[in-house]
Amino acid sequence: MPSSDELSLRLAEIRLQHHRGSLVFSFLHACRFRIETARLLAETTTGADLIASIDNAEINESYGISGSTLFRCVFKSKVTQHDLDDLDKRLTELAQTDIFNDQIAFLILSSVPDELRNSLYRRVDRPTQGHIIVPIAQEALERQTSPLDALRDVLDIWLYRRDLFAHTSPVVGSRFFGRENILATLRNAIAYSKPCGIFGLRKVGKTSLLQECERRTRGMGDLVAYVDLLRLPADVGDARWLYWRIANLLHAEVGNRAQLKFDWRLGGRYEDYLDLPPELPVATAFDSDLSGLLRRIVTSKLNPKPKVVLLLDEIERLLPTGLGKEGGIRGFFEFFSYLRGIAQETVHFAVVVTGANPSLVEVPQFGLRDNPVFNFFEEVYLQLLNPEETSGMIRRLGKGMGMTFGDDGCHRIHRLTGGHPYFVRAFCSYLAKQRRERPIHISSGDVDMVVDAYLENGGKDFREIAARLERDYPEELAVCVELAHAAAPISIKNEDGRVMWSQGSVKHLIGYQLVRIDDGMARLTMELFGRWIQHWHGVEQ
Amino acid sequence: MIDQPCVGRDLVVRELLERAAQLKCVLLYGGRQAGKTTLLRNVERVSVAAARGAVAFADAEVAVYVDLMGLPYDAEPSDFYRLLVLRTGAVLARVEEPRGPREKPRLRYDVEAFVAAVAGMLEAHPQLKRITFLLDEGSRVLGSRFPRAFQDNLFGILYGGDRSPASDSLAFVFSGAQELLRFCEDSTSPLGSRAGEIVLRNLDRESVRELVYGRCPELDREVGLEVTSYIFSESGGHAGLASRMADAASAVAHNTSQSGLVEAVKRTSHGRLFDHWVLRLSGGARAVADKVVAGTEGGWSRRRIARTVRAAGLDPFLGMLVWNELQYVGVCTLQEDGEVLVPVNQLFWRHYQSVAVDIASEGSSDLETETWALIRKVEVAMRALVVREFTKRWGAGAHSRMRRILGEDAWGKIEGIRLKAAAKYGGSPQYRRTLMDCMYLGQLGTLLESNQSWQLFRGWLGDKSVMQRWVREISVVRNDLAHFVLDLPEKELRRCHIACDDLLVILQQALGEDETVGLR
Repeated sequence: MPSSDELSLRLAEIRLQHHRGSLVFSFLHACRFRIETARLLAETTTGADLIASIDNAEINESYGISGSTLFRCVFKSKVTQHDLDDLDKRLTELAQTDIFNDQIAFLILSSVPDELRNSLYRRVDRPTQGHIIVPIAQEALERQTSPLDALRDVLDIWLYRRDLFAHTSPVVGSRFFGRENILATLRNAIAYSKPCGIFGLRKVGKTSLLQECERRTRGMGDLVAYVDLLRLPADVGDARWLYWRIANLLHAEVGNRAQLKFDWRLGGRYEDYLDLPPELPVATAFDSDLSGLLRRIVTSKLNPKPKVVLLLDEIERLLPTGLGKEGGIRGFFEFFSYLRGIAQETVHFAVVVTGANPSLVEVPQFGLRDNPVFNFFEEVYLQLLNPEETSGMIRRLGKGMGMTFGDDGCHRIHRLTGGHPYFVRAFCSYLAKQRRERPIHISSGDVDMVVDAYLENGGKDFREIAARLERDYPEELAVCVELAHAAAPISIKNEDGRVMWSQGSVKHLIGYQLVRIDDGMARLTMELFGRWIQHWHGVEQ
Repeated sequence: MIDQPCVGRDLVVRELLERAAQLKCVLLYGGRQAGKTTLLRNVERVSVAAARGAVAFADAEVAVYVDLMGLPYDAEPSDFYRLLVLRTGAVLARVEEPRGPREKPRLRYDVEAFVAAVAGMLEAHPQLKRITFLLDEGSRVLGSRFPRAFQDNLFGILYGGDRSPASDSLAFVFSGAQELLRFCEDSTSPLGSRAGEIVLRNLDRESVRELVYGRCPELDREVGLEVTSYIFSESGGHAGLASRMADAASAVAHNTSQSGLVEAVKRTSHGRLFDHWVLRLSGGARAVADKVVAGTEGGWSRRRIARTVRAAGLDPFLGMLVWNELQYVGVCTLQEDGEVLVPVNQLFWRHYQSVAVDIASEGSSDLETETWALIRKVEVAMRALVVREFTKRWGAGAHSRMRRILGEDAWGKIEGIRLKAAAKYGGSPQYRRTLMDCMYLGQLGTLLESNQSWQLFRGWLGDKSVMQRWVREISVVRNDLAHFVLDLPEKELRRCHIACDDLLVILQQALGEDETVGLR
């Protein structure tokens, strides 16, 4: 049956099944939504799902509703927790497709009881609590005069409460912005099995990038083992846990792929780390598993052949030096020597790590032992967002909250934050709290009006940067203070034509992207940081 | 601890829960007796009541108060996780009976087992979406007490994103004072960098009035206003001070005149408490405090604080911390739309004025010196309390009872020391040590914890094992310091410092102000 006929048939079923189904159809039509798919739920009397995208620039601009959006029409009179769980599950499934708008779904029902309303409000206020579900009562659908106004009324109440900028966890999928160049670099490194190290400032988005890389790599059919090393239990002092974890992840990745199946010695055998027999030679068992898997890949008829991709987040956790913590873990040298060996031996294995400090690969020795990963990783510095990426992120998130940003506003925020994604979000979140009227258009003037208050109330993060610099890089802090006091770009050379600061300081400040040098003129990358220094250094502006 | 009514904190409670839900981690800054514990216990009470009523949708949140002082002195992360699991079980049982069999707590928990245990408990209570742990005395899991990787693990489960199943169902609130800044120090995964900060400030006048009438409901309007006015102006609205003063009023409210009532409040003494405040003030805060008592007038803007801190030879960026510290210690309050701080709490400032000379003459006290001074205070306070309680209970037979508890050998040595001491000071023949002066700290601890005497002290000291741990931690350092051992490990000094702090607060409460004056 042609798909258009199939859709018509399904819609007819929904309209005939329940009066509310018919109302939803008319409502979507009147609001100029294009219905893409429709189906009755498994229990046909409980409701139906319609996926539709809107062809209305104003709704799109004002509320950020774009892409395919789910409308669940509930036929029965009462919505329970079970219904919400089912809706969450469906949204999670749909979110796997890039075009689907997983930030919001609509629930159409007879009326919205207070208890349900409060529960859904909490989702809006606390973004981690589940998908945003906007309820529409039947009464709104029946307003014959203007369905679009009814939709606007509902969206005003529900969406303008949100703070989409306030997000503390890593973002992936549709919430991940920009970084296409660096993702391409990573994809290339994986394709050519080049070990890669991503380095960058704290909160600059390393984990988000690695998780997005994981999502895309897995999407291409590779076998990915992502290990968040922060989860290495505090009382684990050696690498056994790592071998066990990676083997289990790879075992799970292979799953039901028949061509890659073999008898694992470590992976999948011990669900709990504490179940590992003390006498088990874990590294040897791991080698047996990894070698077995790589052999299967080589001999399989899969085309293209999948790669085994190991992603290690927060590599500092393992380091056996002052760069790491408490001497790292025993077996670090052997673990990385082994990885190096495997990477040099086969083209079907790739490893990517993230860390705040590239010294990991720059130091030839740790103590008296050769650093096994010296010059092993290709260093990739995670750059701050460029102006276009910053604007894109601000505008996309702002849209969903009834905030639009003019070019000048975006540009101003980029100058203030240098394009550091965390600070962009933190500042915009603060701005959203200060300017609660919706819809609202934000200009550079609006941005400037809240800068001082932001620095006074939200400067904790700059305090951390300053504290870190003071502890580890006092000379670099002095440079920052000098640049802040100058309040304008200054020449990096003194009257004798010599660079005023040590080579190491300049390298660190540029590497950490605190300072930019253009045509021999240096300035702080984040204007906010400069203003904060002025603010708290006791200097009158 | 008996739950105190929590007045004037509605906004803070709301902010705390909102920020915990949004940011998953909150650092609650409050000075001594600023009301942190009262606030947190109240949050737990309120959340349990709300969760009881939530049945329809699985989005209720419950807050679980955990006093980290309950951890053993040699606690490891496993003990921390276990304590949280046990407390959660107890709190959830107050919400409702779990659906399904209750899992028996394990003896050891690693981070994964902890996450699994919490997930299991949430599954047994389907109406709950999130557990917020309210961790009192956050310093207990900071510094050298726990490996740094412990913070990594917490960071991982809170901010691991989709791969952390507990990411959306857990939140942590750590309460404490200056020491919480250590959450921000680590270079890779500091919880503090993601956490929200809440500063527990003084109560406003209306809240103090509510506090006073809560304690003395029988006061007539005029007297109530006068008492409120006095307490507010003297304490600046500091929750602990105001509460103590209201208690003093309450104790005499039924049988004294209006002027007598105010006099009773005036007699409330807080010297020991203030000694602690002064001792704990950061260098930057002291720099500002010195200016305040030197008569520098006007409000304290952020820039003025930064300049003062810099003039004291400190990093001006510390000014931001000082700004907060002066508020949560309870000696300054915000004015002019939050633009400046002004000194309040006249009781404190008078005390500071009186000790400022001593502080200046001490110079910059290092950790060893501070710790030694604290040990001395603890030991003197323990002696005083033991003598008082033994005498109260056994009268003239107090020494005989001590002798029975400590044993003949120990008692013989104590008497021997006293006799030798008398001979040592030939130039001061009138000098006589008392038997108590000759006891070791460990012996004082034995006198407190003995089965024969514990009932005398149990009301103040609470958990015997905690008291034993404190004495152990103090004794080790005390002996080495007394023998001028060089280069004591800083972590041991800090451990001892904290134990002294904690024990001293209890001892001074037990002794009351009159008996602790001599300890300063």
